[in-house]
Amino acid sequence: MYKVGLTTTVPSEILYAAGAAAVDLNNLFITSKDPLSLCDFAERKGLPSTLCSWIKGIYSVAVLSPDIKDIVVVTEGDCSNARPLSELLEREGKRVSFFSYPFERDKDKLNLELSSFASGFGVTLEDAWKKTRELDRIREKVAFIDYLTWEEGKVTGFENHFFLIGASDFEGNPAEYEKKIDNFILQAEKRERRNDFLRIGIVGVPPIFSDLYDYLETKSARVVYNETQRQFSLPDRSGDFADRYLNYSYPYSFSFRFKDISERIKERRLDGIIHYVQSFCHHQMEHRMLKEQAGIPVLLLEGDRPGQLDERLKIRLESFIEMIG
Amino acid sequence: MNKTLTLGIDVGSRTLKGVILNSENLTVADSIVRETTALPKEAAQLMIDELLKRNKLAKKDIAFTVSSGYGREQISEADKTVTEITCQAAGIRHLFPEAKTIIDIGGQDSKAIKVENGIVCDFAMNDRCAAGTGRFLEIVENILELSKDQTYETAIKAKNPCSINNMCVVFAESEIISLLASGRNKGDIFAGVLNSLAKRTAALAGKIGVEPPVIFTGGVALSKAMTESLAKALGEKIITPANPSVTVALGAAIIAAKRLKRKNLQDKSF
Repeated sequence: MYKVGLTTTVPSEILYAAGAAAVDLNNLFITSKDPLSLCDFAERKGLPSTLCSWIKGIYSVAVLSPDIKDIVVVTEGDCSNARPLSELLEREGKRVSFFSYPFERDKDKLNLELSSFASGFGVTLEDAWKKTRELDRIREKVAFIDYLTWEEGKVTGFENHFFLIGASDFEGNPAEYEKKIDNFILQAEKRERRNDFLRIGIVGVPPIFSDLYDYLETKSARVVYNETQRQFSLPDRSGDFADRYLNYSYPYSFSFRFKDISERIKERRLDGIIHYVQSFCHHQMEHRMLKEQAGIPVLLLEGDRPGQLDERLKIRLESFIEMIG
Repeated sequence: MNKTLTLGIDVGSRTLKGVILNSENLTVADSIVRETTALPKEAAQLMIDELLKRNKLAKKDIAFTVSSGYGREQISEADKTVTEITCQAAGIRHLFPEAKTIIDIGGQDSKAIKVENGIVCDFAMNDRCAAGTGRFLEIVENILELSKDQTYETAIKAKNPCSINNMCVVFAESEIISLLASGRNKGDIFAGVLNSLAKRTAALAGKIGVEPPVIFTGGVALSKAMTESLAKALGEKIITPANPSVTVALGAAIIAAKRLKRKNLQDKSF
């Protein structure tokens, strides 16, 4: 299978139906041995220091991975930095194709996007739909891990994040990813149920810190809801192919995302929300809306470069836990 | 006889503070403020020793110790660590039970805390730089060669406060040097800096919603000039504690007193 790098999640059924392996470049960046050096590399290549570290990381892993020759850049529904990023990647010799989630959630427009994306990879939407059935089996298992987290208290916040985020690209190999999930579920189901944590939700892009989830657990707080990572598992699989990607809330407006967030706040009996935002990211503007509407305490946590939490961030987190505890 | 004294320690980024409290009537027996050093753990230890010695006390005379601040984990004798947000709310509640909003500007950070009956309901902290903090003000005072007791007189003489556009400490330093070079007087520059700081702090407080009574505390609240600028920027009357540097340590000592009471009750029930 040839690899196709992604700047964010796209309907990966299309890629797998075309015989390609989807590789979420965000995951490749953050799980690399030294993500910080990848940000440094991007800056040495001229990207500004006042730019989101995820974009710098994506750029670097793409440039430094000779086996990834094709990149899908999402130009609407994700970060607007992706547009100049696509041009830079083309200059580095990558073949770039595009995908857009129409901000207004117009089904006809999305259908056109899906058809054009599929034909670009030499397949039809019918081919992709067949592949969907296979991937749905894995998505259901990932949803079960999520259930084991928030309802059974048997899965840690980090494990939840880790397995759910894998659904963005099926780790480039759905069969291996499924095996990993099966083994984990077998082990997790045997664990003692724990309900003695404060229940936290993380809203926003996946945090760039390596120790956030573990740090929270040392302070008796567990993340039982990862908004974006959960969306990667396509939790609302109702309707046809286009409906699924209209219900996938991540690329659309905050108002649309909040419908799902508010349901999860109730369902998961959250005590508080950490709104994670990346430095220099447009999502920071959404904080006011979240805070006004959540109905439970919300902490804004801003991260820049990859690595561990610093003392200033720990003070925010600990104070927040003291406040809601 | 039961021991009644508690100790609150605040290991801040610029200064170390300690308060000894009589837990029975919640009166302050003594308080201390010392500058921190490159070895904060050792500096905190020296401060604790000094505080105990001058009150003719030994460590065994303290019934419960709570440490707070950045270096809270460094205090080996602490029975508990509590963040400065919670301690600040407890300290201010003790001094001003009616307080609704607390603005705390310390050495390297600024915080706005919303409280209801002394319980933290919401808080916001400054961004990841020293803009709008005591350190920023200290650097400006150094560039302008102003001593602490000259700042107020200098600021009120300002006729046409400068506009300071850079809030990055390093860039602001360059901007101030340029203003001095262009012949602007110190008063106008200093008043301009205070206005910028106050506006920035008001924006931070706006994130939690300012509700009176507003208490301004932390080391920067010692500056009368800053207090007036902040009141203007907030459009609210603000109240400043008599000793704003130690309100976190006071809160830590109060939390220690509560813990001690709980511990004594538990001991009795056994």
